[in-house]
Amino acid sequence: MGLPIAGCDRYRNDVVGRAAVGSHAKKTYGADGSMDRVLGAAYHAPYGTPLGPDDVRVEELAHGEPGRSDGRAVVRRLRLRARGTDERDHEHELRVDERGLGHPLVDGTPLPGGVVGPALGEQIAPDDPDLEVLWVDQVLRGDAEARLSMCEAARAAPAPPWEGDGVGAALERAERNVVSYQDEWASTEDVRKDESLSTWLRRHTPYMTAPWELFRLDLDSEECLGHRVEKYVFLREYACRDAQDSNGPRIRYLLHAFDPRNRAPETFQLVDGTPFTAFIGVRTDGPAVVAYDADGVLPRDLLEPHLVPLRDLGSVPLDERTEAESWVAVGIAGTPMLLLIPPGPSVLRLHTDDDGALTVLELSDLEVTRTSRLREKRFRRRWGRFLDENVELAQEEIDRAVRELHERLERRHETLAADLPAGPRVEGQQR
Amino acid sequence: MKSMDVQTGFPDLEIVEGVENPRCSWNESVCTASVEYRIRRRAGEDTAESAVGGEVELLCPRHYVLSLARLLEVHEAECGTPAAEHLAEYGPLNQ
Repeated sequence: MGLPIAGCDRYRNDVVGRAAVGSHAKKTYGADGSMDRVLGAAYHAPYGTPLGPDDVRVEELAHGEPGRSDGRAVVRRLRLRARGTDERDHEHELRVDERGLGHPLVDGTPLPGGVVGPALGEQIAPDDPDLEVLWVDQVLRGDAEARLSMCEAARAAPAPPWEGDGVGAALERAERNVVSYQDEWASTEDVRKDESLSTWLRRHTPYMTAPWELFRLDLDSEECLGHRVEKYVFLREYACRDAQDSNGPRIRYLLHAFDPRNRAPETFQLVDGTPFTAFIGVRTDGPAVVAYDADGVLPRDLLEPHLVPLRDLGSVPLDERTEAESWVAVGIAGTPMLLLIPPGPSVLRLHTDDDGALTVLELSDLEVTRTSRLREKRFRRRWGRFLDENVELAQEEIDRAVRELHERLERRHETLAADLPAGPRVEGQQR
Repeated sequence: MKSMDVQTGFPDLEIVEGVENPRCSWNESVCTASVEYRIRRRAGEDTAESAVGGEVELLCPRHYVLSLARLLEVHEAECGTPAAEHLAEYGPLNQ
């Protein structure tokens, strides 16, 4: 549970009132494997916190307890003393009412923003069956973050001069051949709920010189849908172009189709079932687009008759005829393709690199992406000491990790050799 | 392609025989630690062709551990191909 941080004294919260109130005995939270079930594999607490699920105090209130301003009785209460964003200790609490709705509080005050998921920061509904587990993980994340930030401050080492948004930092980067990069993830549902898509895009790409262009897709016209292969089916395209390549855009068609009227689960799968990520990306040099790259998009000229420009996209654009949520097409000025965002949940990832010269917007399936992000988070928790560059690793620790990883790879070699007697061979480790 | 004659202000890189740019290939952060390990990934996705020609990545010990761990714990699960099949060679630099 938890890992001490080099350079910082290990600090453990004094957990007061650990015994359960009332006639029910204390239960160890997560002992039923719920943390593992919801967050995948063996649960790892976030790197940097000495706390874990077993520090959660659980109370079952058999007869309910009036604890809510709406008069609903509280039947279950989870409490965890941990640090908050202000780096001080707080009493975090989740009250579950008689309807099964969870209400997160900090020092008795409702937590603004509620519970969000660890993978994508997506908002979790109060009736979500996994709310408790996600709440516990959220409190632990906050604690880890506060402690890491305190260690950083205590170390008093100045941040590297190339870090930051200022002009000075940008010049340092240019001089040192270092570039800044950033990733933003969001669920399309949250973006629609909280702000407009155009605001979200602009907020996270402040230095992008080619403007975003947004349209509502008016798909009433049937001839549009039957344009490519068969009725109601679009083929998505892959297209890329580099200003230095005189051969013009390269385009190939994906083995992928969807029906925009009936968003089926296969929207983000190729026909063989492979998860699929659509994207548009540009590289700019000053105001000019010098290269673009896109997959799973549609050519703007094909869609042109069906595009309704969205100057300021409202929270949920509605199709005027059906009053259903519309498909939204996103493009970048100076490029000939549009990324189609379906109604309903999916995930956006906005990647900027090379100090803002490269911008990529990706769209993928919510569940597939959540699983994949959770896997990455687990990796970052498990290997937190190695990823934390403020930690000095002992030679022995490195040697042990190398040995363990080599062994795991060699076991794979052996399995492969046994499975594929006539198949291709990897060369093996040359040591 | 980055120019190699940029004065970066970072410590001079050690000379590694036959290697043009002996810096740690880890690209999530700026790393100026000495490289001690190498990884050569297979170039093609199609292992049946035994494609090898991938570039050699040189890594410091910390980032060698993280690169192998990510291959085994993250990438393998995503792409379905066993981690070992992705690697043409790996291990310490001087052996």
